[in-house]
Amino acid sequence: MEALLSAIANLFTINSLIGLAVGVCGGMVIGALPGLSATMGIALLIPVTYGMDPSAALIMLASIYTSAIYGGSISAILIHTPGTPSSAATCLDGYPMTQKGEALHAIGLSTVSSCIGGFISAIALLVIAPLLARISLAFSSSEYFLIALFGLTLIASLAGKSVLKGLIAGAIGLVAGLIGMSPDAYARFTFKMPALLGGVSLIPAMIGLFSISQVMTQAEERGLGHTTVKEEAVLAGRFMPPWKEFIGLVPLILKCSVVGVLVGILPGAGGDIASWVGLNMAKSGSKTPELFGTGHPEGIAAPEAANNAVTGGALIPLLTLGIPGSSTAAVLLGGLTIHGMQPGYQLFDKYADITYAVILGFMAANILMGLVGWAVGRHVVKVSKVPLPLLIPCITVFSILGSYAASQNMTDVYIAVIFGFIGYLMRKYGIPPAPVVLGLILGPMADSHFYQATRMAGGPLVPYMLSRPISIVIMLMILAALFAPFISKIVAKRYQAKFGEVGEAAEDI
Amino acid sequence: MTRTRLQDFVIGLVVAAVGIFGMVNAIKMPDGTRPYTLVVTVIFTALGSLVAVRSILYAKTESHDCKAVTIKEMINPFFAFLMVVAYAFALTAIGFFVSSAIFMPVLALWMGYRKPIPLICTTAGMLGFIYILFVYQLNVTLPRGILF
Repeated sequence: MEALLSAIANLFTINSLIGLAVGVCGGMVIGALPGLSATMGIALLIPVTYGMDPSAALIMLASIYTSAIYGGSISAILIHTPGTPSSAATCLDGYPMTQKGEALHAIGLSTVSSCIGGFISAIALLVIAPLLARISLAFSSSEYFLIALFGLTLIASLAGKSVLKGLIAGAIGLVAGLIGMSPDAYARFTFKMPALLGGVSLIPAMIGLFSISQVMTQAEERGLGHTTVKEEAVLAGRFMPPWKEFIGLVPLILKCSVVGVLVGILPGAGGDIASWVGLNMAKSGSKTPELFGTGHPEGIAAPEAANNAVTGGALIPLLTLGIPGSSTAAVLLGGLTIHGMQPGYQLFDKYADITYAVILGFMAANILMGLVGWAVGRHVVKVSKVPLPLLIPCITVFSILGSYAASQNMTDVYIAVIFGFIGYLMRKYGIPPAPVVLGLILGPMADSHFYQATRMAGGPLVPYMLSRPISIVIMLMILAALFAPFISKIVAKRYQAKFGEVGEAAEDI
Repeated sequence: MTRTRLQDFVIGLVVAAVGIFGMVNAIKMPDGTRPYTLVVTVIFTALGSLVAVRSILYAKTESHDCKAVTIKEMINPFFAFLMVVAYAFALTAIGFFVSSAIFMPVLALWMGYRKPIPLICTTAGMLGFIYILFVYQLNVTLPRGILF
């Protein structure tokens, strides 16, 4: 109770409220801009949070996460271009509504559904996470090593088109994580350069992989005169859905929200899968399935509730076990660690006032998102009219600044530039950059806990692990996780095949 | 061998070569560091070798996970990268604000943007925002050079 009161006090500080507002508005803009993802937005803004109070910083990052998912639906509805992969399913009924002159109605439906989905996921986070975190109290180095391994098995699920290349990407992260001092104080792969003794810093590496590489990708468009905008929709009519229509949609929104939370908890299955599952549920349970694809309100409400519900669900394993189920969650984990907070029970004990403030802030973000969406949602799509040649220098300067600001060290700037180059080549040659982050975060964790676990075992490690029931459970989870990507790929392909080619296109965003 | 498979083959070779370099070094490391380092580098070598072998086995078919990359399409990105590198080095020479004030319009002009007023406003607005947020609010000491 005391922690909750401190959390409320933390939430209502001026810094936290500013963080909340900036996160919601910034996330919406980032989400609405095709080509900019929540992952990139969070990676760019983590350095900004460095000098901030941890509550305000993490509230801002969590708000960006949920708001960017919602923002993606605005461009999906108005210009038939999903701002984030999670919004691809919304295109199918959102854009036909725009073509029928009901764009504002469609945005209203998306706003209401996203808010409810996100809010329900925040409640789930508040209720489930502390219970799950208690389990981590029983963990020793052996379990933490296995948890790191478990996290690494998610690489396959972030792999994109080729599992093998995804694994290579994860291994690049692991190899990069080897650089620096090893747990027994040996200077590993530092090539006698003192700047490398501290290892590869996570934030500059992420900024390079997601932002600078994106700048290089956008440079391919040089001279083509492309902007990201297609056409401007006519925004007339009412924003809020009629009461009768809303009441009719409530059971569907609630059902899809629960599904979204469950999908979010599952490692590796993100908002894109949840939105397709939600859309399929809506269609199979609808009295008018033939209207889907023609601008049916249910076709917007279902995927939007489901994809925003994923955000809170994905934070549950992240905060309790340190398992980032998606690239956005991996970047958020980076945000937690730079503020000196390690996932696990201590987040709900030692740092309870901060953690609960973040969860309550996340709840508030989902409400504020609705209000901001109602007030300015219709205008947000105009940001996609900003010419790319004007946007790219801003992103570059902010990337360089962000990588420098974290530790005010030029080595980090060079790391960001090098990782930007590597990230660009990886994208060109079909190697996804997200697993690198996972490898870079979990590699050093696995390394240090492996070192400690071998010393605790005092002999062979495997028999020691097999003597511990929790280790056995985590080993079984690792085995299950190895099969999860194949199952989720089959599920995603089934739904994409069912609903057409928008889902395929979304994979490339 | 098709172009995409050739790309995969080169990637596999590079990855395997880096992995072997790591393995050779790992063997000489102390007991506490060696096992984990060796496992990671062996995995890295194995994955690189797998990609290379796969590209030989399916040499006649196109790879489904990447497109054929031409030198021509990479010229502009590489030039942009060189500009970023120059900008990064300029930070310590002439300071953050001066180098950014030069870099932003130059990159925008190179990208094909030709409207001076929005360009000046964007550059000034961005640098003003950075000054207020980072220097004034967060007390970050940005790189200073001979000019500012």
